[in-house]
Amino acid sequence: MAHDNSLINLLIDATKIRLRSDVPVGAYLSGGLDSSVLVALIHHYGDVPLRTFSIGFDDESLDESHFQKLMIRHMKTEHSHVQCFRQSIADNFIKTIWNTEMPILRTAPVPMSLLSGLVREQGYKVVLTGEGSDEVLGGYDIFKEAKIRQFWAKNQNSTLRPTLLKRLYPYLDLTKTQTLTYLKKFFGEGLEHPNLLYFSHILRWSTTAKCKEFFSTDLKNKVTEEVIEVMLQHFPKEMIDWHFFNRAQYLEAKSLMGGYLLSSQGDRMLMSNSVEGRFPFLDHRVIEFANKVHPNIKMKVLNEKYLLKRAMKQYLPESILNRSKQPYRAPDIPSFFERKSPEYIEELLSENMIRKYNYFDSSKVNLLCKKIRHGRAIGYKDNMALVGILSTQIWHHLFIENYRANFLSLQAQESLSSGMNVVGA
Amino acid sequence: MTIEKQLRDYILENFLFTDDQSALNNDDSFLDKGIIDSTGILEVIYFIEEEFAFKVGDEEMIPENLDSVNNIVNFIQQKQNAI
Repeated sequence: MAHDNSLINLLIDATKIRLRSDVPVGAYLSGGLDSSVLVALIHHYGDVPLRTFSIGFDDESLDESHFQKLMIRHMKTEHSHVQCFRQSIADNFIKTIWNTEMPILRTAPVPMSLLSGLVREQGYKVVLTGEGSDEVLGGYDIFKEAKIRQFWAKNQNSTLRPTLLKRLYPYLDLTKTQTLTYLKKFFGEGLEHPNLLYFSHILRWSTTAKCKEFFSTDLKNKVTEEVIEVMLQHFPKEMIDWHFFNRAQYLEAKSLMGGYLLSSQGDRMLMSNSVEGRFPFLDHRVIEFANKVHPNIKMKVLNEKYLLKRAMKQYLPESILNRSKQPYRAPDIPSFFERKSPEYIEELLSENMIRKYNYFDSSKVNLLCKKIRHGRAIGYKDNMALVGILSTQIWHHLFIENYRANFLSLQAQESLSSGMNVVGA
Repeated sequence: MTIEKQLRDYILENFLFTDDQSALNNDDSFLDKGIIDSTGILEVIYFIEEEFAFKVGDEEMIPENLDSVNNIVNFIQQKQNAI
């Protein structure tokens, strides 16, 4: 209980000091736990009017509007909403890469720039967001996955332990033993090395590395160093003594959060509309406090962010506290291929352009596109590969091939807004 | 086209993205070689159901039936003989 009070007090102060501003401050409201925590704390302790912003998807499996509406009613916030359609992703993708300035593997940054655009349109320049909560307080599925795999690794022959894997995907029908055979095989990778520093991340890293299969021979020959080896050199020496859960949190914060979530998907999308983001969960005092809390209190058995939920009990409705966690995602392949593809896609993924830029193997890209057009690319890997290939092609086009035109011409920014002009140039 | 050739072409094209026949042995385990993951297996099942016109039952979705070209060929032949 002492923990609960300390965490609440820290979060209240971390939120309050971030409301200090000479312009009005708003907050993102996704409908998930973290943004709801912030909205509740502003409601109770802020001396500013509660102003919130959210995004919704036409794809029901990605949309969280139901939970957003629940919070809006509960906290009586003045709210603005923007709807992201599949078409919006394709229409804004070039502009997004202009702002990320690097290739990406997911389209999730695109809606974030639509959201900051909404904020700006409503006359706001500063927003609080829930970034960092999952990393600091133990929310992600990857931590859950690591916990189950650690438990399983202690008794690898157990038939019961891997059935916990079903808990990772409550929305899949895994009651059948056959599906479990596949899950076991997949999640069983690396089980024989439970003490490996990056045990928690092996699966994600090896799945993502499959995208490299699309590299051209030249690129393959150039990329010779193992990225894990490079990362290992930067890990702190004392990591070897840490609890596996803390190692996973550290890796997540250092790799995906710093490199992508706060950058490509975060600050760069906020700043594309000149909106400043502020992150109470990343207050150094909150992080220092959370680092001293035992992992089993951060995630109790498989209940993620347990301490945060317990601490927020009096502030939030049950349905938000107990809802199952939904990762923030945007539609990938369907955005680009569902109807007729925009011209820039046809052009940049053409055999000619793939050969010309020479990052990828044109015949493999061709087969991937063929698979997509047959409606057969439904897996995570194919989605990552397509977004990675397309964004690399756009990136090269904007920053290498048309470097002069885009940086030396004053009209560059204007022509970007219409997308095709730049590509056609 | 033999069942084996049809399957090989499908796996090569859709999972290995190549027509290089040497990239796949008929007894390669899809799971061990990382060729197909847990969502990939659903794609394979759709393919089998579409091309060979029978339903794959839940109890048949096991690696013994689906985890290599040879396993799938045997599985399809058994199903066809049973009809």
